[in-house]
Amino acid sequence: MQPFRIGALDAGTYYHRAALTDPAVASRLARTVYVPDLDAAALEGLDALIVTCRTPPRRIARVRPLLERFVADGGTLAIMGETDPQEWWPHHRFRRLPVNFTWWRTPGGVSGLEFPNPTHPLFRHVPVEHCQWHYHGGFEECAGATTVIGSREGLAVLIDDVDTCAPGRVIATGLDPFYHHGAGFMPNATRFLQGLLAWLTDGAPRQHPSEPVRARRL
Amino acid sequence: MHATAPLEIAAPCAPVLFVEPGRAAGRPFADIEGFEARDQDEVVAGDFARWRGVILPMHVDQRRFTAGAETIAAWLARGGRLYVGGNTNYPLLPGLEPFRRVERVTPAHLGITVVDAHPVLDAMPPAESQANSGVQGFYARGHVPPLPGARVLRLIDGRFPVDWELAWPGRGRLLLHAGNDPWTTGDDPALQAAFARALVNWLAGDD
Repeated sequence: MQPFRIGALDAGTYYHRAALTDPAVASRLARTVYVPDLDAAALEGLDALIVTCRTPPRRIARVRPLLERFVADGGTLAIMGETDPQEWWPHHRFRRLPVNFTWWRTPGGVSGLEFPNPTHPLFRHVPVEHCQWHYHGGFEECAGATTVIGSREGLAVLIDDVDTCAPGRVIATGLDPFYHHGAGFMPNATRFLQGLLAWLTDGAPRQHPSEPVRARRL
Repeated sequence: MHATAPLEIAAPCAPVLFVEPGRAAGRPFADIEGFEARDQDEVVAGDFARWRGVILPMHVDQRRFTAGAETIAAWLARGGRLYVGGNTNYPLLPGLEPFRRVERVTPAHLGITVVDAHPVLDAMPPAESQANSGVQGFYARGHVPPLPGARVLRLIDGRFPVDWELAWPGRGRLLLHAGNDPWTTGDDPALQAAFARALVNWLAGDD
């Protein structure tokens, strides 16, 4: 795979600044784009665009045609958590869930995440343990999209859709790693973010159809 | 910073503005009068002069308002009142240094010490705001260095000023909390609402 040139949206909050200027993150990015400045020129030359955590949905909704064009032209759109894609991205159906952020305080507690495709190439960079802090919701079943991370509620907490958006691709999640990394709150979010960016800059290699699928539940 | 002509509010509008970062102010503000909410994209720093007080919550686009830092400083000097929440790392006022995180985030290093009373912060006792459902560290995890002349209100880790207030002659005040907005911390909705009410009253008041 060719390395991806990645852009990331900057919504101007303290945590966007903290996360996007962290050298470990910034070195993975071709550029950041301040959301009010997002236009076609800002996407020029990018292979992937990350809609970072907690970018206000009203702001993204205004540029939805631009994002759809980006995907239609072969770009990869990576949608992070707490962006309420149900309000601006109708192509995958997101559903919010109550957040359980205390599961780890209970002896034997489980996060609720499930890993139906543990051979997905993302996990070469992110051990499944590092995916777990909490999640804010997930996507309803979408024919053609791979559920990389699932949930006990039957939702896809991280999808990799290489088929229904072809020639573009959509990677979308209910996890919010940029927020927690920028806020310095949840070490696994930092580890997950580093792995996610490593996978993306590696060209986000996709799962080979012949690879075995073994469900793993945590 | 010098006092200039006192603030003249362009009525009619509520005394206090809550700048919405994309979501509503939420339940703690539900029954409070005297404030109005507007989306951050509908407000610039130059508009603050239309209100006696402004709330910039932790999820707000600080970059947007930093472009008007000099304007905000002039508004405060004329009697405006401002609350700023979050791990502020933009110079929302000239000279404001970025957030500094505590080195270790163990419960022992996240303790809050009250240095001075304040009509807003007193509504949320530290013991009630440190943990959400038993998870520590919700109130704050660091500090923003106070601007010269600021009154330190609370410390984190016994040393770092996590809450401080800067006063101008007249009613101009800045209250900076370097952490999660206190009306989102702790597990007591009554305390969260009490904090929100105290904040709106203080921003609108003259004390």
